[in-house]
Amino acid sequence: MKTGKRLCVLLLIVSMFFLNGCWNYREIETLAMVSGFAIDKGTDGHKYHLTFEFLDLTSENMGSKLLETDGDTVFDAVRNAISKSQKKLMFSDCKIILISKELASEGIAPLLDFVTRDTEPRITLHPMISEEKTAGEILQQKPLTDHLICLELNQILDQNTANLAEAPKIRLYQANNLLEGQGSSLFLPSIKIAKQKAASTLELAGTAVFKQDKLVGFLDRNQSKDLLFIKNQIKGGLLLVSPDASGQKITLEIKESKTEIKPVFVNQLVTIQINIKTACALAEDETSKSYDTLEGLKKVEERANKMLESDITGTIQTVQTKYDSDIFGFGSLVYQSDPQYWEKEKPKWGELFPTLKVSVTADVKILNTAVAKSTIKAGE
Amino acid sequence: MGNESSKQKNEDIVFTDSVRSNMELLKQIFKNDETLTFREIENPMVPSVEFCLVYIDGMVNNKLVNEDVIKPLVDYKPEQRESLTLDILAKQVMLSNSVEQESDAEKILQAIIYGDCILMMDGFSKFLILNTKGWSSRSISEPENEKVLRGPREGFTEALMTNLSLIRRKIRTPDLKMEFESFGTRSNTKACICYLENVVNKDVLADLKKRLESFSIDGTLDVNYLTEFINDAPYSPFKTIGSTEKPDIVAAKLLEGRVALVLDGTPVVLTMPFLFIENFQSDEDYFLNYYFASFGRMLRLLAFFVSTGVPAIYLALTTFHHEILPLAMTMSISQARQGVPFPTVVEAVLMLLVFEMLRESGARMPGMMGQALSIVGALVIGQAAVQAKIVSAPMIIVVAVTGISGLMIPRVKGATILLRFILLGMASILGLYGYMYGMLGLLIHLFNLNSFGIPIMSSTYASTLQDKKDITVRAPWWFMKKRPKYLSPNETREASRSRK
Repeated sequence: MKTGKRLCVLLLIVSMFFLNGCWNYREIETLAMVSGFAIDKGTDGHKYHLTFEFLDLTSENMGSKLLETDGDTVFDAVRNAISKSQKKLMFSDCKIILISKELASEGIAPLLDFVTRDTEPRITLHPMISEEKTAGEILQQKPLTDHLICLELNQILDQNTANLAEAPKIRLYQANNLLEGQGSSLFLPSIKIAKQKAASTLELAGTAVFKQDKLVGFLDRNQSKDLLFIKNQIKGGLLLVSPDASGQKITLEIKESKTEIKPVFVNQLVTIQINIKTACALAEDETSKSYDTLEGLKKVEERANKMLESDITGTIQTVQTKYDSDIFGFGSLVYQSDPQYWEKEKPKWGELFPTLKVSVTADVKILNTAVAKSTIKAGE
Repeated sequence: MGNESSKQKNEDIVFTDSVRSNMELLKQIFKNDETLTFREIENPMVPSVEFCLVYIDGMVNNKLVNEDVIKPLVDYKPEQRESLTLDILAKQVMLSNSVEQESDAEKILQAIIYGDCILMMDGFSKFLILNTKGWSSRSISEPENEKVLRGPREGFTEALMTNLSLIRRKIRTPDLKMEFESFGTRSNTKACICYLENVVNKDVLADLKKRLESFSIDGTLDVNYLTEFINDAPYSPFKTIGSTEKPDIVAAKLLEGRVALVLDGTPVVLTMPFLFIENFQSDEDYFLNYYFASFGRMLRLLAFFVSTGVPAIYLALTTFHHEILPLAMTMSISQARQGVPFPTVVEAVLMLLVFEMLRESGARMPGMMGQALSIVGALVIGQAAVQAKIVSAPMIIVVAVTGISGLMIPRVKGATILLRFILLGMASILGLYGYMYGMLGLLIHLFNLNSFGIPIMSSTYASTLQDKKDITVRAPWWFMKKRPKYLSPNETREASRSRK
């Protein structure tokens, strides 16, 4: 009995060593860390053409090199990299997947399968759509402030959500959720090359809109901001308001914004109500009139409300008519608040969505006028 | 615990009442020992009576012998021959503070060896044993390896009685008991068990005495000779008996209800029971402000984990779990590893060994070699090895952090080094899992250890606030109202002697 017990304990201890997953002893310098990769349409008969950006260890400074491979599936192309690189590509620090608009318009779901299924890439990486002809040429750009183009892209995306709010920040798992979700459509940030007088650089261009898993078009940066307002994802950014007919503008900096959306059911018909509450600071005043008084600020607030309401309504109409894709997730809202109604209307949602009535009310509050009391006036 | 044959021999010796024949007998016993000195004396009033003083040169204080023994004997003016007896000599003539009349040969021989004088007198088979012990010993100084910035700086010396006086001076109460024992069948080393009668855990005391009787050894030159016989876990690298060179630490431990064992000939004093947390306690913790002391305590606890775990974790992260590292760190580590010929695990073992060598040579070398060692250590092994691409720079940092934090906790030094290599080995096979299994094994081992019947980890699962006060945080003194429950049956610190 006692030996049996001991044997049992011994067996448990031994199995402890064999039953865990990590066996793989790999020296760190034998791996090529991929910071991101681009997927394009394949050349010479292959389906995909992949461009990897990986950490370059041959120079003293931090930098990257590109590696291009072809394959009939994404994984095939990834594996083919071995015939070109002595080091194994490692995807655990992969931040970005760039997908060309050509491939995206044929369907993005098959492209995301490998990165979702494989153990190495994280589900928190960011898929992006290239507005250029190919996605690979984005990676060929020289990074401006970072050493690696994909790290820079990642940073731009972070900064954008915090301070500009003109492109959505969607992680891989969120993209998958949007793709598979009830009454929602996928949208991803889009990227393009910005021509400058100096060397060209990258620019977040706005939003790529998908219907099912196929790319149908893009929203520009202002429309993207409206989208973020509806999705309650505004964390910063600016509002440019013209308080009078002169066209001179006042800049409001968004400090805090909260959006409440609810579907309202009247006579078996659904309408969407959007309530936006935004707190701003008056950050710049280029007008010749003075809006520094309480009444003046109230006027600015009213103009801002009107502007926001009409902008957002316009964007919704564009998406409804031009793309017919429910990226705002109105369908899922209906599903959440009345599942039975949704079950009934689901097959018809495609027809209902383009004519869906949406009412937008905005409530902009100006908290302060930064550190200036009044505008600068030229002396007499 | 005596050597049977030599004891037998000593019992055979019978001294007579003739000084001459006794001298011959002693010369026979101490054959070939030329330090034994015979000093023949006569009293001028009664020159017919022979006296002889016997002592071992070097063990006695010559001044004491001259002034307290020879001078009074020569100056003594007895009225008649009959009034010159051994009894009168002992009580009226000798100035020594301890004078005994003894006829037992064993005791007389021991007294000679221990530095006393023997005065023989014609007509008496009893001898006078006079206390004239006086050998030179080191003066009281600050122990090199237990230095403090604040607090008492005196340290124990090699002399037993000096050490006992140092303890007694800290705790002036008749409650402090000191029981003598002697160890070593040949060395006959004196030792003393110290404890506070009303505070001590009686079970621990009884257990200690039982264990001390259970072994025999021919010589005990240091307390470690005893430690290895009496500790609870002879095969564990962790200590279950504490040791220190500072009287203030011993006094503090006695006040907490522990027992101390002082051995003649070594400045190291044992205290028991010894809990694991004592490895991280320093006497300075109690002399400094408690915020700072607690910070130091936590830093030392952290150092234990850093010192045992950092090489293993570094190895696991860079060879198994690359994804945990931030990209920039991956970049710099793998750039540093470019061109290094050895795998990370070999690199780690090599550099850790080099550090241990540096440390060991630093501890043993003569003082003025320090500069040479630091040049070799810092320049040759640190800088040059990295430049020559034999080791990577991050590994030097890892080893340095490991080594420095190891120096913070000298009491668990041995166990830390062993554990560091075991964890490194585990991590090289299984990555972080290996490290986790290693730490698991460590915990199981530690929770299995006892020190004189008290679990050495008992402080970690203390349930009341009073028991937690001196573990990671050193509570203010006014808060420490009670002694640790597991150490002393008499918990209240302010208890008067009569209160039980």
